[in-house]
Parts: sequence; C-alpha cells; structure tokens
Amino acid sequence: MAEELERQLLVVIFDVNPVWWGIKSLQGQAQITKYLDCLRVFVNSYLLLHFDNHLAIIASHSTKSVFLYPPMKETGVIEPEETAPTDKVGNDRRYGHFARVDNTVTDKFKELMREGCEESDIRRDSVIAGSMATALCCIHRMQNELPGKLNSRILVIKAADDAASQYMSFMNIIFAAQKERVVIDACILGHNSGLLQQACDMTNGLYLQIPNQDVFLQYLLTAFLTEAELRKHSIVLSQSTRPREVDYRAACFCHRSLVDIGFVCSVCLSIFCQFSPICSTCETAFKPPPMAAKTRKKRKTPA
Amino acid sequence: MSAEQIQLLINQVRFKKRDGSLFLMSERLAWCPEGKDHFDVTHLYSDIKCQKVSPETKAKIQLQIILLNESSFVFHFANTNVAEGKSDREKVKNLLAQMLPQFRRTIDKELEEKNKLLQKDSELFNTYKDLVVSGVITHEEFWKSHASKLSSSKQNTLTQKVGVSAGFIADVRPQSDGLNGLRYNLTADTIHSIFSTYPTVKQKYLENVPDKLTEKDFWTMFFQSHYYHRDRSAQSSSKDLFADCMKKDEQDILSMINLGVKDKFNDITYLDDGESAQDEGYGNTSSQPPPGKVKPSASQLANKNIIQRFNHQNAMILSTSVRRAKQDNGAEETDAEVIVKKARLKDSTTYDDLESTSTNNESTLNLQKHERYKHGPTLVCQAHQELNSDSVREGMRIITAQCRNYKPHVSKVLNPSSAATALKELSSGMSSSHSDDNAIQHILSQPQQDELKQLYASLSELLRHYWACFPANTPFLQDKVKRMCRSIETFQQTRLRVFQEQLRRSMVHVNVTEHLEEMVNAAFAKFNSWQSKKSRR
Repeated sequence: MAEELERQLLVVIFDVNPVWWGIKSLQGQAQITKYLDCLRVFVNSYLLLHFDNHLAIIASHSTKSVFLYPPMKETGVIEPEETAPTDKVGNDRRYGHFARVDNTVTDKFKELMREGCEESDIRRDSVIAGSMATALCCIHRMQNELPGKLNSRILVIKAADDAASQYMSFMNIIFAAQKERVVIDACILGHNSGLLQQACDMTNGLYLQIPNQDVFLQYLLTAFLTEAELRKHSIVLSQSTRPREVDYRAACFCHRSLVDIGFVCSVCLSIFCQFSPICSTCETAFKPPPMAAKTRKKRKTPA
Repeated sequence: MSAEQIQLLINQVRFKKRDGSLFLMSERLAWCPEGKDHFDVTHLYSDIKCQKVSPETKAKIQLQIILLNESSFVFHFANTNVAEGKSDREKVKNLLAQMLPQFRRTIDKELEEKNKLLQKDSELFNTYKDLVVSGVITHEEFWKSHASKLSSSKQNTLTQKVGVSAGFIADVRPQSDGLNGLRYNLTADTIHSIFSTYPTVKQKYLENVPDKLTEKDFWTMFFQSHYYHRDRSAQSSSKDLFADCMKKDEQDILSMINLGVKDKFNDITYLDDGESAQDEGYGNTSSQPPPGKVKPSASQLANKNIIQRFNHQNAMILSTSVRRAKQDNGAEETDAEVIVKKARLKDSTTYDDLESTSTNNESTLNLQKHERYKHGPTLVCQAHQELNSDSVREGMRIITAQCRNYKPHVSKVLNPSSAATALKELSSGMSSSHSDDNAIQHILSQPQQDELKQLYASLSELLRHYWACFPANTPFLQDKVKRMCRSIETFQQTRLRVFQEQLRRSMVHVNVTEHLEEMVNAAFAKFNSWQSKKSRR
C-alpha cells in the first residue's frame, strides 16, 4: 500500500447541444437518452472501482454549463446528500451511492433540457471551453478540500463542432490543465476536433472518435475507465496513446484557415497567409521581400 | 659511418660503467665503447630535449642528456686529471648548447598535442586515418578544420607573471644548526625575489660572484650584513659589503618621491588638508622638520626608519609586477589618455544600481483588431449550415420530448456483438504498429554498423571541405575544388563501393548507403555545373 493517500477524481463533460442531438435523432443516428444510459453505466463502473473515487458530471449546453452531479445549489454550494427514501433506493436493490448518483443526474438532466431549449439556445456549438474551465475550478476545489494526492482527469464527451470563438479560452484551459497535471481525455461523437486533439496531446490524454452509438459504452469502459497512469501498462491503450500526428497548425488572421507556411508579423505576431506591406493588426509597415529571396524571407512555420 | 664530420671527440668518457669515447658530430651525438668500432649510443640532436651537468661540488664530473621521450643518459667524464675532465665536459656542454637550438623542432609541441588528441579521440583518429593517411586530403587541411580541438590554438596563451610575495623575507626562516650558527635555505624563487626587491643586492651579486666570492659566501655575508639586520643592530661595520646599499636605497626613495604619483586618482597630495599635508611622504619625506618643532627623539627616528623601509620594500615589490606593463610616460596627455581617464572617473563615481532605469523611448503596440487573436480556425462545413431550418426546429422538439419522458434503460446499453467489434477496433492499433523492423540494428551486424558510421564520418568530413570551397573565387580554392572532387571520387570507388559489395555478399538487401550516394551525387552535380559555368565564362 502506498503511504500517501491517492484519490481519483473524474470530471465528465457531456455535450448536450440540442441542435446537434436533434438533427442526429431526426436522422435516426443517435439518441441522447441512450448515450446518457451508457454514461450512467460508465460512471457506476468508475465508482465501483474504488470506494473513494470521486466524480463530477457537467452538462455542456449551447449557452451554459450545468453540474449534473454533484448537485449544486444556486449559490454554488454542494447540497448535502439527502438521506434517500428507502423505497427509492431499495426497490431495485441498487447500491445506495449509485442510486443517488443516477437519480441526481436524471433529475438535473431533465430539468436542464426542459428549461434549456429556448430561442437563444439555438446554437450549433456548445460551451465546451466554459465547461472545461468549470471542471478545472471543481478539480481545484476538490484538491483543496480533500487530504492527500488527487489524480484528476477530465473526460470530454463531445458532440457538436468546435467553436472558433472559444479558441483563446480553450488554449488557456489546456495550458492551465497542463500546469495542474490534469489529464484531458476526449471521446468524440461528431467531427474531429483539432482543439481537443491538441489538448489531449499536451496533457497526455486519450483522444478517440466513436464510430457509432452501439459501441459507445464499450469504448468508454475499455479506454476511459482506467486512470492515465495505468494506461501505460495496458498494451492496447499504450499503443493507441502513442504519439500520433496532431495538427498544430495555426489559422491565418485574414481567412481563418489553417496554414502550413505563412507570414508572421514580427511586431504583433499576427499570422497571414499572404504577404501584405502593412500589417492589418498593428499597422506596421514592411518592406516587400526581394523577389529572389521571397520564399526564404519572413517565412516561419507557425507554432 | 665516418662520413659525417666529427666535431668533437672526447676520450675517457664512461657510460654505464664502461669506458669509451664520446663523439659529437654534425647531426648527432654518439658514444663508442673502448676497443670497439661501432657506436653503442647514438642520438640525433633533434631528439635531445636538454642537457644537464652535475654540480661543481660533486666528485664525479657528469653530463646528463634528456631525450624528448623523457629517457635520459648519463656520461661520466673519467679523465684522471680532474681539471681536464672538467674542461672536457665544458667543451661538450658548450658545443651541445650551440647545436641543440639549431635542431630543436618548433612544431614538436604541436605535434605531440595532435598525437595525444588522436589517441584520445578514436573517432577522430579513424577519420584521420581514412582521409589523411590514404592521401585524400592533406595533413594541414585536416588540422585546419579541427583546429578548435587543439588547445594550443586557443587564444589565451599569455601566462600571468607571478609577482613577489610581500612576506618572502619572513618566509626565509633560519634554522639552528645545533651549534652556534644559523642556516638559511634559499631557493631560486627567493633569490629572484630578493633581487627584484633589492636591486642593489643584485648589483653587488653581479659584481662579486663568482670571481671574488662564492655564491655561498655571498649569501652568508648578506644575511650577516648590517643591511639585512639594520633594524636590529644599530652599529655598522665599515668593511660590510652592503654598506653602501643603504645609501643607494635612500637615493632611490628620494627619486621615487620626486617622481611623484603618476596616477592622478591616487595622488592624495592634491588634497590640501592643512596640517596633515606636512606628513606627506609617509616617513619618506626629504624635507627637514619645520624649525619650530622639537628634534625627534631616537625612538621616533627608529620608527621612521622602519616605516621608510616598509615603504621602500612595498614600492619595490609592487614595481616588480608593474615593470612589465610600464611604458614611456610622456608628459603630454594624448587624447586617448584623456578618454581613458574620463572613463575611469566615470567608472569610479557612478553606480549602475543607483541609476534610474530609463524607459523613455518605447513605442506602444497599436493593435487594431485584437479579437483576431482569440479566434481559432473556422471549419469549412460550418459556414453553410443554416440554423433556422425546419429540421433544426424539428430536432429540438424531438429532443425536448425525449428528455421529458426519459426513463433509464440501463439493461439495454450494450449488446455483445457490438462490444466485440469495439474491442477489436481498439486493439487493432497494436498489430499494425508492429512494423518497425526497418531499424538499422535488424539489418546490419555490429561491425557493419560501425563501418557505416565510419563511412559517414569520413564522407561528411570530405564533403565539408568540398562545400566550404564555394564560392571558389580564388585560384587556390578552384584548385581545391578539383582536388576535393577527385578525392570524393576516390572515396566512392575505394570505400563506398567496397562496403556495398560487402553488404551484397552478406545478403543485405536494404539500401543503407542510399543517402551516402545521394550526398556524393549532389557534390558531383555541383562540380559539373560549376565547371560548365566556368568554361562558359
């Protein structure tokens, strides 16, 4: 036994963007409720691994993030676990802690989806970055409150597409997580996300794209149940976490498209895909590069 | 054997307890045992590092020769007449002293160092063997490119001259010899220190030793002299050898005072501080005490003497280290001196950390659209999807309905077949990623790897020389380009091809020398284009 007490904390971020899920269920490809069931099995399995495993679930809506578990009051104080009525827990012979988690998640989820589908919520992207920031705050708080070492992990179950406007906060979160040694895992249901790829790569997390909804739970249980430290010992997982090609290209400021090789303003570090004599960000004037040396001068591979 | 000119022949020279004769020829030194007609010992002058002779006092008259490889040979001049033996030895010594410098190789040291470096660095040695020994590039070219590895080429070869310790006289501790005498142990260093501190003693030494006094007698006299002990005993005897040294010292002191302080920064006579200015000279002053004052007492005089001696000794000790740097002190200050003076004044009066940090001329960054930094890349598919379409609204409605009636069905979340599919997919990465057997250790045996490494080292050295020739704008460089190109060709023929052949014989099919070939071909291509350009011109 290790002398120092080590605890696990898993923060699951569940993307509940109504637009994306709505379209998917209209096409008959995915149902949010099925995924929620899988998620419940997954978190129960996680809690089953160790009695002292800690858990938080955050739902990431298109305009807000809400704690599904642990239950929070409006003031942000964690509600005391109510002594559950015996009938609620005992009738299906479930372990009391599981039942509490399940019931809280279900209630909160229903509450969120009922009130959350207004006109202003119709957005194609979710506040993943905001939810991750919330998760980091939650982790930080738990670290202060719990004695001993806390191994924290964020699992992002992402459905909707990346939001370009969240870029800056996303990057800040990645670096904050890296500094706090928080591992970011990503389970992608929709399109590949360049930002999360970078996040996982930088925090030694696992990035996986799920092909269809039937295998979702198996993916969760196989890949994301074990903590990051243990994955190294698994042949399968250490293979799938091996360094892969992560797209670290930057986007140019003029067209917002990824560039392989671009022009970087030496004053304000703005990135452009074409040379312009005056930097449109900081208005610095540049001499046009001589034609012969055009390819060599001022060229820089973006970070 | 006797074709060489014999410059000196000395008989009755013993070597290793055998009698014989010593020959000094035009290029070498040799010794032949008595009654034989061949030389047992023969050494080129160029191999001899130095010679040493036995001290005068020793009964045996010997001469030692030390070779460059540190081995030494001792010759004993066994002439029955001691004086003749001595003169024989002197002759040999003088002739050797003439000959040795002629043959001393100045590059010896450098060569030794290079040898050492090659012995230490096996990789370099291999490259050297490949390129220089096989004649691909010349010795000088090789060392030119590796000059940085030789410590002798480093700039900082000036050694600092050791000064004189302030307490060196005190360190010469006399030892009681048990009887009524004292024994002083003098080392060469101490003598040097004494000479440089007391030039008058040196002068006396040069005058008297060796013709009038022996060295030992001179130093005995010195330590017995009143000059040495003048602070302890007041009376002096007139026959003292060093009697006039004191007077000379006094003159020295006076001349030093008259010289004044060169460095204005240290000249405190500038500071006219009333009374204290009278004590200037610190015991060395030449002026008489002011008439109004009482004549100083005997003890005051003694103190003054001591102070005077201290100051003199200090001045001499300091001057030993300054002497070298001293140059002409022209009365006129040149412009450069003024600048140096100002810099020094500034240096001693200003303190960096007391200065205010000046941050005046900063231009602020004027960002127009700072939100640009906050945006990530836009996905192409996002651009043309409408949000207000019916399908979106319909989907939203479905979602709301689904969630309102949500009842967990935990038992139906996973069926076995899809679980198996998922597991297969997850572990598929393992089998496919096993294909890393292109690694060099699987292909080549250890000696082959070493040889390949060696080839790379040699070829890159060659190519470095080759490419360094461009642009070849001097005849020398043009010549070198041609030579280098030929060398690379030779290398390709003699080394690379052989290695490839060897690989083929040992059934290695992967082309490990591809990159080497590419490098060679690039060099040839450059050579061809260079030549065609040159011929066009």
